[in-house]
Amino acid sequence: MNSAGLDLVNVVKRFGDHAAVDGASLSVKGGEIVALLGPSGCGKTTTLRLVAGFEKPDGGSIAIGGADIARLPPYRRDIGLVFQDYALFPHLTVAANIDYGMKQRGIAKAEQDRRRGELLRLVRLEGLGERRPMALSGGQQQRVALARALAISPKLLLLDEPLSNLDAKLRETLRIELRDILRVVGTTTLVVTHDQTEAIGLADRIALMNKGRIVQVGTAREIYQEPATRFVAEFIGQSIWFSGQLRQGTGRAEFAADDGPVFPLAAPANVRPGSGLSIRPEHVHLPPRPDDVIRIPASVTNVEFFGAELIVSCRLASGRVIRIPIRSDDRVIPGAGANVELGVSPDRCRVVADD
Amino acid sequence: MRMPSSTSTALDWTASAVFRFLLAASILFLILPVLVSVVLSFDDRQFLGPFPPKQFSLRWYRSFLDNPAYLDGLIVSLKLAVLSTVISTVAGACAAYVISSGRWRGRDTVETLFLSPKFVPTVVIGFSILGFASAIQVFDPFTRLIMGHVVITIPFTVRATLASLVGIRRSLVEAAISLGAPPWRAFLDVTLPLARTGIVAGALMAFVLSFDEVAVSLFLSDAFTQTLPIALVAEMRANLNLTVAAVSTVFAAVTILIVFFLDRAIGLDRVIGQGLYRG
Repeated sequence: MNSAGLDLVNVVKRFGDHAAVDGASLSVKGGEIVALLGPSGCGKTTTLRLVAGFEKPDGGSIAIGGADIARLPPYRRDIGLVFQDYALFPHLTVAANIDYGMKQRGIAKAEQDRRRGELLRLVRLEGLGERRPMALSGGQQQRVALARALAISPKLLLLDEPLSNLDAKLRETLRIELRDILRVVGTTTLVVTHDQTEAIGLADRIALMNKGRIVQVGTAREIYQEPATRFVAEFIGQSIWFSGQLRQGTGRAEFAADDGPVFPLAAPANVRPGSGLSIRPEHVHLPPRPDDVIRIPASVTNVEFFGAELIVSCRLASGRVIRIPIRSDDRVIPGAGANVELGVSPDRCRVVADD
Repeated sequence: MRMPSSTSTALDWTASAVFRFLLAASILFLILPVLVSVVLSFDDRQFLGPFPPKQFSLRWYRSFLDNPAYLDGLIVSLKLAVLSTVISTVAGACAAYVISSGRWRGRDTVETLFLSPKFVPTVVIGFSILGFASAIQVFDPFTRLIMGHVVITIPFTVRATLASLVGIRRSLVEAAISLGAPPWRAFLDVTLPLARTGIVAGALMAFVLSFDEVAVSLFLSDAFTQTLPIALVAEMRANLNLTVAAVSTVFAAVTILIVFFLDRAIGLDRVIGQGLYRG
């Protein structure tokens, strides 16, 4: 496959006074699958439309394979686009849908047949070529849309919320299937989504977007373990957030939370004003483990049972309640009203910018 | 409070009976008068006698064929209906496409303007076009009639096309473009076939509307160029006999035939089937 990298540099798109995309930069390597993840209104859909060519950027550059595509109309960009609603042509058969792009390119009939057969096999829809799209299930329609986008041998594949139109049960299976197909095909792919499971399940790397900018790019693990900002910490997974002050303690830096606890820090933190402390709930231990230097007194207010896991709500000295997940085992869990100590290890504390 | 089931069943039954009755009555009132006129057109009597006729003949049809005013009128009406339908459908579909493509300043005003002839009395439209035509030095009655008929039919072609265009998701056109089709190609391959329902429905309405229009034609025709309905009205005034019934029957038959053939040719039911695809 002729896969090329995608480079966005300082891309800006304004609608009136509002900058939907506000200096977004992102680099996707050839053959890589990157998820553009963010809440609704963060500018990810606009970014997708800018790359596809349906919107014109007000600033910055968009390049595929090193060549600037800003001046190319959308029908000359060689980008395969899978729409959120699949956008299959209802008046054409599945086969004619898949052939459409090849027809526009003047590809010979025999070659069209060969490639269509190959793609139908790839997306496991052999024998359904003569059906109308409406006669297919949601998952099948999505795979037709994918086959149609791949039929033009695109330099870049764009997927817009690929799983959002499917019901929850199907989503899991289809995510794995879609991932396998994308791996086989090897086309550079940008997946736009607001669903972190979808992003983690499909992509090699995740680019988190907020307020028109790319906030952090990395693998799911990197982003989860080292969130760059409070937004990232809270958008990917759960986070317990402490605002407070960073100060020089005995021997090393420590973070004094407004809620009371003082956290000695394992590593020197690179901090700017307006920083806070983020801890993943599963790193708060009840009861504390031996190397949990940080001890936080709390009282249990509620215990919820979820099978494999319990959620214990604990009230801190300041009155704030945090929820801690605990594995269900034979351990005796203090009931509501009990005074307990929570334990945290310093190397689990992350000082990050509050945005 | 729950109603006893027997009462609610009785209510259901009454309601359904009332609806059936109303439906039957509507159908009766739609069809019966036409049937009466069809039967009367075969009446053998010289005068307008009591219904039903005792003897039948084709004398009124002979009288229809002998009267050049009717035949000329039929030809004028057909030519007029075909031409004004073509103009109105093409112009209306184009207007609808522009109106439906994005939000621009004055869009609502333009849409209202295109639909306004529906709300202006046809007598006013007829008189206005007569005045306008003479102001721009158009004295040919057929040209005037075309102008008038396009004006009164265009709200229907615009409205019907708009309704089907609104149902076409933007992503369908964008999908075609992303696959390599320039916008004009995407329009021909995607928008046009999906809007066919509305365009054809609008054309049919325009045709029937133009074919039996009286008020506007009354102003715009002259003694030598008359439409069939005008000839009918004129004859009815001059000498009322059952030729009028024969003409009406031919008139209705032609309308039904044309709708039938248009339907077969363009495949109205297939087109209506496509309405389901609209998301």
